[in-house]
Amino acid sequence: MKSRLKLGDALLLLGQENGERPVYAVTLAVGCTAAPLTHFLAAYLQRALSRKVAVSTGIYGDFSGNLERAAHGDQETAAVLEWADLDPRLGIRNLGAWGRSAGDDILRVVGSRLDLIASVLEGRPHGSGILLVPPSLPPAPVVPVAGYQRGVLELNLDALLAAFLARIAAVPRVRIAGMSQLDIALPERVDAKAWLQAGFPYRIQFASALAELIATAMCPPARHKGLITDLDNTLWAGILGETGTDNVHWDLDHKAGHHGLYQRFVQALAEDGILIGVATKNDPAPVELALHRPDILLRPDSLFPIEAHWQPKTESAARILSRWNIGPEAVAFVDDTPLELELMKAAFPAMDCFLFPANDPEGVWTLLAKLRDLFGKLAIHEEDTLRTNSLRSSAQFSTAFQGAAQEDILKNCGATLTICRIGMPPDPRALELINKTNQFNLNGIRYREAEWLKYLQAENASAWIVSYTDKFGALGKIAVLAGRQRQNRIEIDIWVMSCRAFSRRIEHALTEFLLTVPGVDELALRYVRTDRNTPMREFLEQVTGHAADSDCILPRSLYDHHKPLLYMTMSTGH
Amino acid sequence: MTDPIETRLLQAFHTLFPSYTWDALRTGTPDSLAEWDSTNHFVLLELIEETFEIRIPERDGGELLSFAAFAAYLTTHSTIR
Repeated sequence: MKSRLKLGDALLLLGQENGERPVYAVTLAVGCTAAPLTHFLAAYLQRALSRKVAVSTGIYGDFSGNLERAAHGDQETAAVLEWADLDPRLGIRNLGAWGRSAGDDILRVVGSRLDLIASVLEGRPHGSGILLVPPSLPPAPVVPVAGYQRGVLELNLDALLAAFLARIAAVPRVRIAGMSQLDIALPERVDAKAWLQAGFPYRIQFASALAELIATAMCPPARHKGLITDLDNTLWAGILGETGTDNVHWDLDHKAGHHGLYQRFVQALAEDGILIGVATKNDPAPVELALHRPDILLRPDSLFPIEAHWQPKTESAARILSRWNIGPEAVAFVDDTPLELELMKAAFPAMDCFLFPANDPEGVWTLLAKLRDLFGKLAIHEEDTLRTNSLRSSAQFSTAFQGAAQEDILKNCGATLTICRIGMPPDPRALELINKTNQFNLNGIRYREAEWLKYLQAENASAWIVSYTDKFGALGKIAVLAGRQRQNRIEIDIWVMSCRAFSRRIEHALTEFLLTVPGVDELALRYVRTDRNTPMREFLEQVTGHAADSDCILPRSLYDHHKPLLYMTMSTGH
Repeated sequence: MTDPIETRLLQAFHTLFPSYTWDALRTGTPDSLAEWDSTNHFVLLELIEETFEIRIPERDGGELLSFAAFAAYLTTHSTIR
């Protein structure tokens, strides 16, 4: 975890050089004085994105107007709302009357202001992402209710806010910051002196914490893809090999409710498309029986693969990673034995390893919060739910590959490729694929949503998202291509493909597709070698017949010379 | 011997106004440092409060309009050396 910045650290960070990538511009919509929240936000974003960030703001005291202007612009926006923006009487700078008699009017004003903001957000056409940060400061004590009780006005304000947030959470490309992550207590947040003097309501330490939360919500760390879990004293209480299938427990009656809690959580992760593998030192037969007990909460079909034997768990993990075809940095390992965690960490330093505290329900609760941050996702795509089945079918595909001639399998697997042009608003799966694919990735360049939208709307730009299915099952949307046509050439800037789709010649079929675009007879591929994109390099070397080091040109004639036979059916759509 | 308060203060000024020489900062005022506007005056106050772990009352903050004024104020009010 990186440290929280002091103001001096933030300013120094902003003064540093930060690579050659263009400055990333974001908008901070606030009603209060924006500095030094702007400095903190720019510094945290700069740290997260490893590039220069410029934060623009608006007019003091005009939250709604600032948000409206941002909503119609093309920059990613953080909108930091406070109660005083909804009615100045809920702040401390305005001298409007307080007291019980003001309550109804304040509720009316707040309600209509929230309605206006919601309409602005709902009414924008294709704007880039907006992060709405709900009030982090308490409303001013308009009605003098003791702090240990909740007054009717505050409860009604909360109700208005909750209805507003639920309404705008349904608006595309609007996200709501999770305020419970702020670790500074309410009384430590307000700086009355700075608020009255300069219109800046936050204590400096709190401004840093708030900006850190905003930056994390705008640039969340890459979501982990897989969880490898132990079974004994982790998924259940007890040692299967000692007590037998019927005597491992996860219920309250056997004081094992925290294992049931873990099972339910892992099942929920599986339903969200997180890969769940098992690494246990056990005989496979009792494991199979225990996992099929009718009262189990984690369904056995959510688990793939299951490594149950007496070999080291590090070997199990290596096999699981290979089946999943993902790196250890995208995986968490949970086990109740510290030694196993240490061995795993030594074998895979990038893997996050967590102790399952079998005798400490409190610790399990804390563990779930950590796992939620690693795996949690606001919304899931169809591909998320397909993932485990798709991996199983990939495994069947690979097994079939080993047992028969490659050409026969490819010829008879009934593959269909569907290539759809990406329009506006774009399918969110496309940007997700671009930003999380490492291996078959033309250049490793990541795009912010605002940059992606700008790219799609540029002159001559075209982008496609590709789905694949064969007799082993559907893989879902597995590839994205984007480029610009200039005369007889398509310049490809983006080309990514999920590792689940390897070995099917999909990349060749896509090359074929691009070279049959009317008027096109060559591709210019904006290739950059990265630490991880070896599969892309190997593909380019195969189709061009020479070493790939940087941008390369692939004329139709050269591709025809090197192309393999293709058997899949291709269709296009919108 | 260099005054430790002045050294820290100079560092704080340099953090906020990095394009100026040390000499320009030592003699700096809102007139001589173009970026020293009301917003940056507020940020400067916050930065000085953080650096020297003090709270500067509003009535004092408004009068600290030169590097020298800050240095004199901190010599009297700061316990950080």
